[in-house]
Amino acid sequence: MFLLIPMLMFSCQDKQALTELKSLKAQQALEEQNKSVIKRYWDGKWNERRPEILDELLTKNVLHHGSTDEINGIEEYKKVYNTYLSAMDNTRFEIIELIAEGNLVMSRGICSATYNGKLGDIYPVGKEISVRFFTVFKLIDGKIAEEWELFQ
Amino acid sequence: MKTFKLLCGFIFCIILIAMNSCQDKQTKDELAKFKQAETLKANNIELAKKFYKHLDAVQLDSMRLLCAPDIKIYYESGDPVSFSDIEPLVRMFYTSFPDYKHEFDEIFATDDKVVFRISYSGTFTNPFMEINPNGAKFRYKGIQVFQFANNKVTNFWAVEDELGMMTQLGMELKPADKKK
Repeated sequence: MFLLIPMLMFSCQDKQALTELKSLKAQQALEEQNKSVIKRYWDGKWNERRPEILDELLTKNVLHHGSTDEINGIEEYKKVYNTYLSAMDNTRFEIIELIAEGNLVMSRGICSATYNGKLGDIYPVGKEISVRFFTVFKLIDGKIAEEWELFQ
Repeated sequence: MKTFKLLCGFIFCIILIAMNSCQDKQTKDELAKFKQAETLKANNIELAKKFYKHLDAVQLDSMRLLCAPDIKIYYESGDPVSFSDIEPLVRMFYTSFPDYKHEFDEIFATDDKVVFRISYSGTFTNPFMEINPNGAKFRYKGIQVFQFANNKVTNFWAVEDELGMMTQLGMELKPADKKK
């Protein structure tokens, strides 16, 4: 009997620690999953130039906060994206770093493209542009619900 | 026979306790690692906040103490600069905009990194890059990342909406002349 009591005590402590550990591991797994969503997003958006990626990875009510623009909802987002997609050739996005905690992911990367002149009065046409991007994403259930983007 | 059964029961219990104890140790070790990482993250966040507090008070010596001697600061272009390189820029900003300050919109961290989404604000009070002040109040956004090692900042990356700031100061952005 005197052996069963410490065994039960051990077992209870172990269960509590195990539950806490499981929860922390689940969060770690979620962060890795969120990072892979962001990688797919950049690849699909600029490296593969697939507009369908927006439906796949953005929520319907996605919010975008840029330097100069605010976008509200996926339909408006698609219009803005398609404008840039048709004005930029040879787009390439290189991820330098992904940092994730909880439902947030920050990506640092470089986007390069050749401007083909379809954005109005901006010159020079045919010049390769290379811009450093910092973007913070908020994800809900594996989809991007909000993004804050700044570039140099 | 009874003694033998009792002895077997006793040994069986000891084995069970030992097995339990081993599992328990493994779980606790893993948990301790996670908790150590959480403590480190919280500590790094506090150090980064202190960095901004000294920055907004223009206490450059105190800021320098938070940085590794060979800190690399990635600001504007891709090439890193040293802490000494940014000192004149910091003094210039806080002279032109004496109430210039950083407000935190979001903070998150992982391992050795801390990410800040920031709002900067100030008033154009004294000349800035040979431009006369107009008293304009400005507010713009930025994202900054700190990397820590041994309680010191080793790398710092920043991107800010400088164009937004300049526009609010009354400057204009014009496209370059079209080549004929």
